[in-house]
Amino acid sequence: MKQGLFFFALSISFSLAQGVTKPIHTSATLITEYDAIDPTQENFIGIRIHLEKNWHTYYLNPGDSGAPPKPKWQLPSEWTLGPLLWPTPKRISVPPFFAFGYEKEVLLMVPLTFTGHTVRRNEITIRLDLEWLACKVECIPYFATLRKTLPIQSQRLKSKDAPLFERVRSLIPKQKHKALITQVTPQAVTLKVTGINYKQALDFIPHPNMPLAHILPEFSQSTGQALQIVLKRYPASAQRLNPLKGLLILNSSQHSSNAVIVEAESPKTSSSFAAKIALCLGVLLILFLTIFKIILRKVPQKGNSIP
Amino acid sequence: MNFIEMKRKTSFPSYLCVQYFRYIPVLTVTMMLTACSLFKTQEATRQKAQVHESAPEFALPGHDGNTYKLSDFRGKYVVLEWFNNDCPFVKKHYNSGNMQEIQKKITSQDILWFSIVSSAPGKQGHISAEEAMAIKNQRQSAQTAILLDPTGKVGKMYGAKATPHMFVITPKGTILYNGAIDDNSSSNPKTIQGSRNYVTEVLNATLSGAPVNVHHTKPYGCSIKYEVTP
Repeated sequence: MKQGLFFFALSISFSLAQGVTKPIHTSATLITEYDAIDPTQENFIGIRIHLEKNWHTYYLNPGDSGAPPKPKWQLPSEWTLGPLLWPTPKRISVPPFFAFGYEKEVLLMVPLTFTGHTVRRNEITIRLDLEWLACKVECIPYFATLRKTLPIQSQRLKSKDAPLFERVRSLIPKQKHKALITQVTPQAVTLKVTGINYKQALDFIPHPNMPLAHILPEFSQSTGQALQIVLKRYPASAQRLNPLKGLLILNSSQHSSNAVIVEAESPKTSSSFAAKIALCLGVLLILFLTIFKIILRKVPQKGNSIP
Repeated sequence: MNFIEMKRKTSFPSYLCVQYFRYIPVLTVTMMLTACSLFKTQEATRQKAQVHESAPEFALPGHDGNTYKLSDFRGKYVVLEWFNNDCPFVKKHYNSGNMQEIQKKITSQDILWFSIVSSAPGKQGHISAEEAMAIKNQRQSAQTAILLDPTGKVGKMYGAKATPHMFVITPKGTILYNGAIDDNSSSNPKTIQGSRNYVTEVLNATLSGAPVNVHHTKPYGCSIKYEVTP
C-alpha cells in the first residue's frame, strides 16, 4: 500500500517536473505532412486533436453552445500562415441542443508559405498556443503549448502522418455554390439550390453568426434538380439574413467532399421591383378613382333620374 | 333618405357604390377579426423571448427563500444571467472577479441582476437554495438574487442556451439585449481584458440616452443542462 502511494506520488511529481499535464479526455499534437519545410512550396501543418469516446470538440460554428479551437501561432516573420481549414463537421445531439463538431479525431490543417526574400535559416520552429474545448455533457477547456522544429529544405519525404493529411484534405469543403433565398418569414427562411448533383441532402450547417436556429432543416426536391431547404430562424434575432452562408452536406458520389459551401442571396431586384409594381398600381388606382369621380360629377344623369 | 330614394336619385355606378358602402362596416370588422386571429397565431408560434418585445413573466424562488416576480420590478432595468457554477465559462468570469465587479457597478445604479440556474436535478450546476446562498457568499457576488429554475421552464421560455447567457430588460418590461456577456468566447480569463462587454455597453448607452448599437449576439459557453423531456 505504502509502495503504491509512493509510486503514485512519484508519478505526479515526475509529470509536474516535466511541465506536462496530460489531458484526461483529449490530447492535441502538432504534425506536418512532410519531414521538412520547402520554402518554394505550400507546406501543410496540422493540429491533430484526439478525443475519447463520446467526447467532442467544435467546428468554427459550434452550434448552440461551446467554442471552436483557438490557435495562436508564433513563427519567424518571413513565414505566413493561411486560414485554418475546417473539415466537414458532424451534427452532435446534446438534448435539447445541437452542436457542430468532431468526435474521435480531427485534423485542422493550415498552409504555411515562405514570404520572405531569402531563406537565412536552415530550420524553422513553429510554436502553437492552443485552446480547445472538449465536451461530453460537461465541458472541459484545455490549453497546450506545442512546438515543432523542422529542417528547411526542398528535398523532403512524406511524414508518417501524410495519409491523414490526404484523407482530411478530401473532407474540406471547397466547392462553392450560389443559391436563392425564395421566402423569408419571421420563423423560417427558404433557400433554393439548383445545379447540384446529389443523391440525398443530409444537413445544412450555417456559418458562424448566421441568425439561424440549429435544428435540422427540412429538405424537399422541387422540379428538376432544384433543392429546397427550409431553415428555422433564431427566434431572438433581428440580424440580416442576406447573404446566408453555410455548408450543405450531401450524400453524393459526384464530389470528393460531401459538403458544398452555399451562399444564398435574395434576388437583387425582386424587392425593389415588387415595390415599384405596388407603387405603380397604387398610382393607377388613385388616378382611376379620381377620373371616375369626375365622370360621375360631369356626366348628366339620364334615365336613372326621376323628373 | 331611405335606400329606395337613394337608388332613385343616384346614377347607376353611384348606386352601386352606395350599395357596397353598406357592407363596409361588416367588411372592416371581418378584416380586423382576421388580422387579430393571424396576429394571435403568430404570437403563439413565437415561444422565445425576442428583442424589443415583452420579457416573459416569471416568478422564481431565490437563494434567500424569497420569490422574485419579474413584473414586481417594472420601472427598473433588470439583468438576467443564466448561471452554472461548474461551467468553465462561468468560472472564467467569476474566478477572475470580472462578473462580481460588473454586478457591483450595475446594481449600484438601482438596476436588478438575477442569476438564474436552470440545471435540472442531478445535472451539472443544479443547486439548492442553501448551496446558492453558499456560492453567493463564497464568490462574494453582488447579484440581487440567485434564482432557482430546476424545471427549466423559465430558461426555455427565454430561449436561454448557454451559461452565461445574458438578457437586459427595460423598465417597460421589454427585452433590450439578448446574447453573450462579451465578444470573446475563450474560456481563458486572460482574454477578459480587452474584450467588449455587451451588457455594460448596452446599459451605459441606454442610461446615458445614447442609441444602443447591439441588441442581439450569439451567446457562448456551456449548454444549459436542462431536464430532457422525451
